[in-house]
Amino acid sequence: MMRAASLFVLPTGLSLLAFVSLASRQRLLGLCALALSALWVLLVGLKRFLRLRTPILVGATVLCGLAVFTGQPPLIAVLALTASIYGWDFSLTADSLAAFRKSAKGRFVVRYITLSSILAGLGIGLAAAAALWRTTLSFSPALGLAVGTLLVAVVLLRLARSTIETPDASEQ
Amino acid sequence: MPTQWRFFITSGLGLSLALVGVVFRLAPFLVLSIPAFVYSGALLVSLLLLPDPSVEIVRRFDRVRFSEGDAVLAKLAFRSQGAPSAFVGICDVLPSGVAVVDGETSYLGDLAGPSSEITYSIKATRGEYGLAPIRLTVWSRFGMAMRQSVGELPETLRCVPKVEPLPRIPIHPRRTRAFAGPVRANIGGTGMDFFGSRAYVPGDDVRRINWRAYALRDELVVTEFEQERIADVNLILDARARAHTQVGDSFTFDHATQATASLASHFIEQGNNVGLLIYGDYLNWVFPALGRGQTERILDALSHANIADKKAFEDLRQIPARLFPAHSQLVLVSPLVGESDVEILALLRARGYSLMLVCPDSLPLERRAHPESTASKLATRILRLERAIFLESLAQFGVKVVDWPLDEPLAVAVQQVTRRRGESR
Repeated sequence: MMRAASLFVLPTGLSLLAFVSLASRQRLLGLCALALSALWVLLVGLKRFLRLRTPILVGATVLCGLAVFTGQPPLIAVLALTASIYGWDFSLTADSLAAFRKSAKGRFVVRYITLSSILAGLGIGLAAAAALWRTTLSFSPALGLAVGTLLVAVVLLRLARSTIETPDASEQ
Repeated sequence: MPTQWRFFITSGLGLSLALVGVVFRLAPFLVLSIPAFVYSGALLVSLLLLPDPSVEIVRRFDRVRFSEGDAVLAKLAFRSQGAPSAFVGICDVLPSGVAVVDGETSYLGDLAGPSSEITYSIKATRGEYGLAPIRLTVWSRFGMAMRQSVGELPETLRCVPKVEPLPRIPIHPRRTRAFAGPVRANIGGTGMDFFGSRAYVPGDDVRRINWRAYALRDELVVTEFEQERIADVNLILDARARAHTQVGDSFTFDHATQATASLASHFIEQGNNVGLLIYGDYLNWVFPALGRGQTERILDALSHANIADKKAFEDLRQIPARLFPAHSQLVLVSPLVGESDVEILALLRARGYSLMLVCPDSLPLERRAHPESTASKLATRILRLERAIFLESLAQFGVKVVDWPLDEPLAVAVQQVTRRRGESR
């Protein structure tokens, strides 16, 4: 179920981006997006070369950036990127659930997809709100904001690193 | 992929987009980075709220040593050790060669309540299996982060060859041991079967005087019976790769191993002193002994017996005959390779060993595997004739041959040999 969700979400997002790009005569961009979604379906569907999933996510991000750069509606790019991130995540989660029986996975998958949908909705909502928000920043507040963001990033990074467990002695 | 890596990858993507947006003063790039930041932020929060996977796991098998084809019941009990409720996945990864026949080897669900357990049955093919540690995955209750660890539960399962009951196999080594047993010793004394009669000498048991003979000859004659004693039986399992063939799923070496196990168990049950030599990889020698413990030792040795292709053991010339007591019974389980093997067996016979050959015949399996045609019928006929000549040449040296077609149980082949012997008498 998780793999099926992954096979649906990421290609749908990229196909949407491809459709919009082709409609606005950005053929190369549209074809690249279609190629990426086809590649994703092949890899995840056939469970082969799964190491390429992260490069595909990076590729999808680059395509979304280019779409914005070439003047496509930012919200479409946001939708495509969100779909790419959660499709990628579903595929990775499907791997860690592979050993468990189907009946046991059902409840977990429903909960996981619900939570992911809420987060995806929140991300898209915030992006939409940010796109509507217009403000001008002078030098001093912008510098303060940048330093503050940097500090928050450092704190978050330290927290994240502290949660990485040390490998067991038996694994060393 | 660990959650930390997912966090680093997505936050890296978000930061890259934001950086491009700031550097090139492109606000849409900043907007585009928001979903990536929301995802990585959620991942980080759930990572911080992820409970410590303190789960006590106990795995129990109803037995760790079992015969091929027997089902073994396993129980995996687990309970949370005071950790906050979490969503856990517990997975017992079984090694290849061990198959689940009933139940599930994994659990996925909440671990808030009291202890839980899963049960499953497994079957295995012959061998020794070191079980892998149990995989434990914990997901945060309201989040996407997970943490994986392994529960160290070292356990070794040993699957020994299945022992097939065999009909009585008569053996006649030239030398037996001093203790009473099932083997006719060719010595007069106390026993069940008539051996002969001789003149009475003072000290003989009066009850053994043959009064009818006394009435006829007018001299005292004593009836003697053939003594029955235990014998030294040494089994030799041929583990040379070149001697064995694989036909589909069936491997002659597996059949030979099973036959060796059955023969060992049979001879030990009869009270004989039984040893085992596995000839092929190295000289794997189980010293001869009596009793049920010896059966277990032999089965253990057979459980990890494997074929090998060693130049030193190319033919049977390296069989260390000095290990075997003089004039004892040798039982070779081998499909044999060629004339050189026949020569070695003849040499062993010449040294005074009583020799029995159990020769697995893979031809019936190969016939089943190949489509029926005139050519295959002719080939089968030629091979059968060649085999008959080959085994006949061994029989001429006094080797007792059990020709064992692998589509039949060993007991049938043994019975045929015993019957032939009865008829020839």
